[in-house]
Amino acid sequence: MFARSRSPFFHSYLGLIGAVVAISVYLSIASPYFLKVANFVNIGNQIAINLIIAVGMTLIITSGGIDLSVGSNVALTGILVALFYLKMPASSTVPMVILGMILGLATGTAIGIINGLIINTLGVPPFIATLGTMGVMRGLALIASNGRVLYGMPKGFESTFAGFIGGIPKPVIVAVVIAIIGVFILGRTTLGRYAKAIGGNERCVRVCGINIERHKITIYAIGGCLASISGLALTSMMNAAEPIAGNFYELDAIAVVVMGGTNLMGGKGTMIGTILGALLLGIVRNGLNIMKVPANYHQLLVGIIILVAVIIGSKRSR
Amino acid sequence: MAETSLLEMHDINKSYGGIHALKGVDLDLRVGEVLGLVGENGAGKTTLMKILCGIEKPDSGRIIVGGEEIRIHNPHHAQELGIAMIPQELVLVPEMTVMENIFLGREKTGSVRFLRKNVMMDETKRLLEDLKCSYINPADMVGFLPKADQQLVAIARRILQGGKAFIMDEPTAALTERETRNLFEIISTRLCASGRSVIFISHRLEEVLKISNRICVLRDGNLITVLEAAADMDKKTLIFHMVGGEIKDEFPKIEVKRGKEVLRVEDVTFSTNQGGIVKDINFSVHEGEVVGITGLVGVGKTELGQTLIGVRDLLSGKFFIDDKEVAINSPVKAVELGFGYVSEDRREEGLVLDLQSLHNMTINSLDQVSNRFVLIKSRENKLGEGIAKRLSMKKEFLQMEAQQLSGGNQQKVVVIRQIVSNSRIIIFDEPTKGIDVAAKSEVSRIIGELSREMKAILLLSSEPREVLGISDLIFVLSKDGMEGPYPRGTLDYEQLMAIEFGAHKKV
Amino acid sequence: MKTGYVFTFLRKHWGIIATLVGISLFFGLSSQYFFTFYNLLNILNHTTITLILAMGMVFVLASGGIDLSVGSTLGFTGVATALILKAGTPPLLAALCGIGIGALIGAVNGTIIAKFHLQPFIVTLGMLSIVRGLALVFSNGKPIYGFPGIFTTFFAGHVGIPTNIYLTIAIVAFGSIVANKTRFGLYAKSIGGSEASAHICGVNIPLIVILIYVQSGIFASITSFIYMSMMDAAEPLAGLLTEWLEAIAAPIIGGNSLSGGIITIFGTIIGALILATVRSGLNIFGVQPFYQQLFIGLIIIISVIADSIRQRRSRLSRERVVT
Repeated sequence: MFARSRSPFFHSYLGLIGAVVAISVYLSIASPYFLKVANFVNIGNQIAINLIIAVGMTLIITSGGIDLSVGSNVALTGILVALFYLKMPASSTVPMVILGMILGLATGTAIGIINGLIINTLGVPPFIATLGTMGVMRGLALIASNGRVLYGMPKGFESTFAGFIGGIPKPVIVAVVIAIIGVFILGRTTLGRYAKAIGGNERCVRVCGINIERHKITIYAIGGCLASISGLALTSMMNAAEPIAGNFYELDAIAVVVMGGTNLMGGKGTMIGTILGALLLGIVRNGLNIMKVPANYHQLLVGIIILVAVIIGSKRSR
Repeated sequence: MAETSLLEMHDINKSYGGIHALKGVDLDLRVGEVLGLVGENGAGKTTLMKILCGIEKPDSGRIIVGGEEIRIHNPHHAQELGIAMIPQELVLVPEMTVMENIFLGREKTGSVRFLRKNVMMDETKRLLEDLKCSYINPADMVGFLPKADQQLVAIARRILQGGKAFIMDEPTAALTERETRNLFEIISTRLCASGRSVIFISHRLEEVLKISNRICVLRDGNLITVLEAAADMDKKTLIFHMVGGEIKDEFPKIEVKRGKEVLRVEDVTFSTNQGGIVKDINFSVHEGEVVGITGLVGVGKTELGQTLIGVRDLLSGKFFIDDKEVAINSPVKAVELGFGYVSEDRREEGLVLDLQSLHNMTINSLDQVSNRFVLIKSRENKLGEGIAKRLSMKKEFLQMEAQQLSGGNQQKVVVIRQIVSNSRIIIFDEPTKGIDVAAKSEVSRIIGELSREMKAILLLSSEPREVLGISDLIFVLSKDGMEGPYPRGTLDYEQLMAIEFGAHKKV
Repeated sequence: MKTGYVFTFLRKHWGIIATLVGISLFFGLSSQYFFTFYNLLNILNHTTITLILAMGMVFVLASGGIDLSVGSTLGFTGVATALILKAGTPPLLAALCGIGIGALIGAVNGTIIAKFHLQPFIVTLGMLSIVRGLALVFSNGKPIYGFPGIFTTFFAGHVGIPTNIYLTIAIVAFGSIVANKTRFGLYAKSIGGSEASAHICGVNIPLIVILIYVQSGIFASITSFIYMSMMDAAEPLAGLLTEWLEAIAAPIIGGNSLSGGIITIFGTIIGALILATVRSGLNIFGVQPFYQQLFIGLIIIISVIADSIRQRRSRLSRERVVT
């Protein structure tokens, strides 16, 4: 009985895993570059940036919401942290480096809390509220940086995310840790349970006397915080902060979440699906790169993935 | 009066998942008459009308409209046949004007397909004049009209669409007495006089008696009788037919000695979904006591429950818990005070359908199965298994999603949630609605057991047998106010019905 | 009767009219450049892009939907039309092809929304990405220059005033007629107001929904003609953010609602004028473009929040009338 009620999940996982394996095999035969270590580092870093955001997005979509502001969040976090390092004295000392990163996390979390407040207290639909914060945060990033790319971060910050531990790129390790925490939060904590329940039937949860507002704001805050971690990682890897960084990252994140099997209408979320989805998208994107398909096709692909996944999802849920 | 039939239904059968809702019902509607349709809740009125409107398809039976046998495919088809439903919850576009609503789907256009607003405006005025309501401005937005006028707009729309047989479901529920008189005059002088017919469904028997030419009585999916309206017919006769003879006791009750008072409600006033006001409700509930509040559908029972758990505004009055006045402004607060609520609407308010049954049971007591943040699955499983065993629910059901369960088991899940969360005061709103007989007696057994655990229980139900069977005290809510309390054993079925329908004063 | 009509009209719109007048007076008094013919013409010129896109958007909003893909459609139809022109196709035929592409994008949006009952925002968000991708792929990421003079003159020439203003007036007039004089306008409103009501009255809901998004796509492609004629270049990144955000903001500021059921063309015009006036005033004050973006973003958020509060209040007052 137990196995039967879970089996549809395993089926869809098998599809994703199969796709990952099949494409990897194809690419390793078709291109001599695919199996190179440098390429793997490249894939890993790309996936890490997306996956960190997607973990938060999974939680948000499961609770019946959406966050379009994560891309702008990435940019604003990077810019503010860079400005901090550039403007503060003695910024290369360890305490200041740490303080800068805390500032970055606080920025992202604050954006998430603002989203949660607009959605909850003012009753604005999530997509429109976060569309607004997306515009505003991007504007702030442009203003704060004066539209320029900021260079020259302290070594201590750069080395936080650049480099390897035991041969594995640091961003990948961070992403793996966050993904594991994400699996844990969604499956094993009260917050994850409430997220599913609120996404499934908000009225029921309200009538049950559960403080929906608090949980929703927490969920958006986590989403914002994770976006800022992604922003820190990106800034550190590039050793530069761009005000237009993270453009369309929200689409990538939404694409892997829905591809993984999380229901866009809320109520059903799978973190493992999201991880596999991120893996698949990362490999496909890399494949297009090494097969010399212009990068411009990537945008097309993400849009098609979103549409196809939501159409399939809508059929499955009915 | 003409004796020709506008439409006929012959030997209509319909079952829902093992429940035989209609058992060979016949019905004919003559030209120019008002046919009253009465019966208890669940007698089959709604199902019968849904079939006529093309919302449901009958399992067997024939429908004849204008002398021709017809299969009704969908509501739009029914409308084309002249069957015009006026539902209780009116379906109008609130943001559009009276004229736009009336003409929706049949706009008049000129040669270049532009709307001819003046023509439609004139026709709307004429139509409203015909309905004796020329005071309604065709250019007003429908959302801002009083309910009674909205209803007239709905009727006007149906007339324009070529409606011949009007089905009115509780049309007077939200109307004042004057508005009701006005509606009746329109029905008899405007609709029926011009050869249209009306099926009038209502719980207000005196109104049915007043307006109908003939009255159909349904009971348990059977057509009991068709009565010709006559001067000597009264509510008692109708109730006799509606209730029937035998009553079996399917709701055993365990006697419990009641404890101290837990909840007291003083002079509480709140509004109903139909836009009415229920005034000055007073009662109290003690430990180990089941207080039943009954009354017809739409009289405000559900709304009372919603007021108690803080999802509906309290207009005036006070709540006391343990003799201390409390303010309940949200469900969060209500649950803190010890309330538990089993909603009438399982799918919309009772369950998170995507979630496993076990997780539905523990949703508002996660503190018990977690250390505030991390869930302890073993503890949760053990808790669920223990309770499922006690309530003879199969262990396998716990891992299934709530939507895969039958109605009865779904209801058990909702009830178990209240047991797990240790609520002191549990409000049950229509706890046995839409579940089979076995599950019904199971649920009432659970209610009895809860009262033995000295919980205070408030039962809101329009099922008279259930209220009579399990309540220690009974209140009857009607549009005239709340009557009672009647202690257990002081009321029988027929007396209760008489009070509900407001006929007891003559008894 | 006639004065009564004017009165109710003013009562309905006095808020935004006063806002527009107030903003204009403020900028006019603070700067001598504001009330110059050139500047006012400039404001109108900038309004055209927002307003044509908004003419499609009002019907989408009225039906309770939203179209996030109009900016990308603007970018792609521009690129596609430019390529078709470069291939030597006569301008008229090229423009028709561009309109056809816009209509096709709208038709796909509408069909998916109507057939699969999906939320419009996610469908059009996916389409935003796809169409932008197409624009980048077809243009190779680079702007396309050099169009026949007759094309640019028609869409952004100068006959007394810029020709795109004439075109915009024509399209707004068209939108106004469709909204007030045709079944299509009524049905769009009825779907957003009460889909159940539209359904039982026999309105062909899927067809209307598809047509609504087709219209939005067509207007986006006409906007792209103006855009590429103004810049004398078809940029694949045209309409990236500001344009379509303003196309949503203008109707909302003007009194249309995100929850559907309402069409006010006049309000939309004023809404677009308010946005353009603010932008122009900020320009005169020498405010950086980035701050302008922030400012416009804030106006949008505030107008959306105001709309949701307005909706809640009107629902309450309706219920109070019933009681």
